[in-house]
Amino acid sequence: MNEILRTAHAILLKDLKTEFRSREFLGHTFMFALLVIVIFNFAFKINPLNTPELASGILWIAFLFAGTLGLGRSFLIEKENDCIQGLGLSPVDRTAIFIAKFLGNLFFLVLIQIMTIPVFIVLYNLNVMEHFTLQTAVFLLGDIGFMTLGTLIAAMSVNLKAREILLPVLLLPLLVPLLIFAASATAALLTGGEPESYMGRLKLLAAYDVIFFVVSALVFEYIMDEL
Amino acid sequence: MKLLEKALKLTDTAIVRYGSLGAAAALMLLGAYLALVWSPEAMGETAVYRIVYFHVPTAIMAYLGFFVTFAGSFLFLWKREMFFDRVATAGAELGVLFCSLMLVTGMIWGKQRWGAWWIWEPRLTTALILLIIYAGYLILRSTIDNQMTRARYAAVFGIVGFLDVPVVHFAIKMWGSIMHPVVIKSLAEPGMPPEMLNTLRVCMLAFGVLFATLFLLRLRVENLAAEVAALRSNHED
Repeated sequence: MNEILRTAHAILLKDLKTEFRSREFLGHTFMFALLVIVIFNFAFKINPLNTPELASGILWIAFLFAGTLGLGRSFLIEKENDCIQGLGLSPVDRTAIFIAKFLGNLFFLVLIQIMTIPVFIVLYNLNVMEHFTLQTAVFLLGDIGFMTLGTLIAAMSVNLKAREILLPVLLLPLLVPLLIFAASATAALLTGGEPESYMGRLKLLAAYDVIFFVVSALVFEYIMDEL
Repeated sequence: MKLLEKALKLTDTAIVRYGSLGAAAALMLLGAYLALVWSPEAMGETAVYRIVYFHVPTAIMAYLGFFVTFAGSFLFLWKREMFFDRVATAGAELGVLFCSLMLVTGMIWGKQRWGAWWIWEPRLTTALILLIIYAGYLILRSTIDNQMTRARYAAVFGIVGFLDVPVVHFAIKMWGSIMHPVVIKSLAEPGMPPEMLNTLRVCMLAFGVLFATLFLLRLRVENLAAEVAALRSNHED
């Protein structure tokens, strides 16, 4: 176990280092998330009355789309100069590669959220983070489930001819339950729902995360062997 | 598994192939007669209710197809035999076919019963998401040329997709309201007259035979294609 974590740590550090050297990717994804939020304003005719109801949906859609863009990149950078071959040939546990890629993707999604949410609060005049601890828990649990399946499907799609379109086509249907749990929990917190309503959803999100993390980590080696 | 191989061997004879297709067609005609003519009027329902005799069997066959895909995917990763990959493909194709039929028959019924072709209701929505997931499975297969890569990726997606099914259903149930009629609540007390139940049984059998026949034929085609590919590559060497 220690060995796996040490390897994962090394791969994660490498990914973060290369990403922060250029930094352009983070900016692009942030711009995209921002754009989604702005466009929804025109699509829905947002006003102070309907904002609390629509806010959670808008935010989660923005994160799902921006996150999917980021996922595609996490394995694509390994394709350049055939780094993926080196990664595959190195005598390390496949699970370590999965965990590293998962943590890297999760890290960038959380960064995007930290940048986007304040802008959303200002533009929509709605304090999404009113229940700060609980709302953070919803976002984190949602992100973990999203990035678990996302990392698996991204690893799969990087080798495909139509990877840009296949990643969302394969991933988003699998994420429907996650979107329901997460968006309704965020909405319940925003509209001041009963504690039971969002606590139940938080537990469901946690269960979703555990199920798919275990399964994805187990089947990842079959994907990795073909990269 | 032995049984499946034996059944597959039988399809080498043309009589068996045409015979089972003929049996499916005959049963389907009998089912149509029973459903449209023989079966009594239902209380508080117009004649459109009779579509239930086709709607319920297609639904069961759709879920059967998706389960076959899951089982084939799992067995492929475990035993690493290409045969199971072909089983999974055949299951997914039939699942998508019957799931579409289930949605279409359900929509026709729904238009009459609810006054709308579609309502965002748990069972309908779950079926739609499933159709999208398994259509994605088939698209995934179609974009990969390498046989081994295709089999592995499809197997991984087949397993993850199937695990998603109960979660999707549960999530959507929490999200929407329940309007969908439950036709058979318990097998011990079906809650419908024997004529209706027997009609449903015949239709179920007809669709079952159709499913089995199509499944075996699809598997046979895949096996033959693999054989041809093997022969071709031997020849080129």
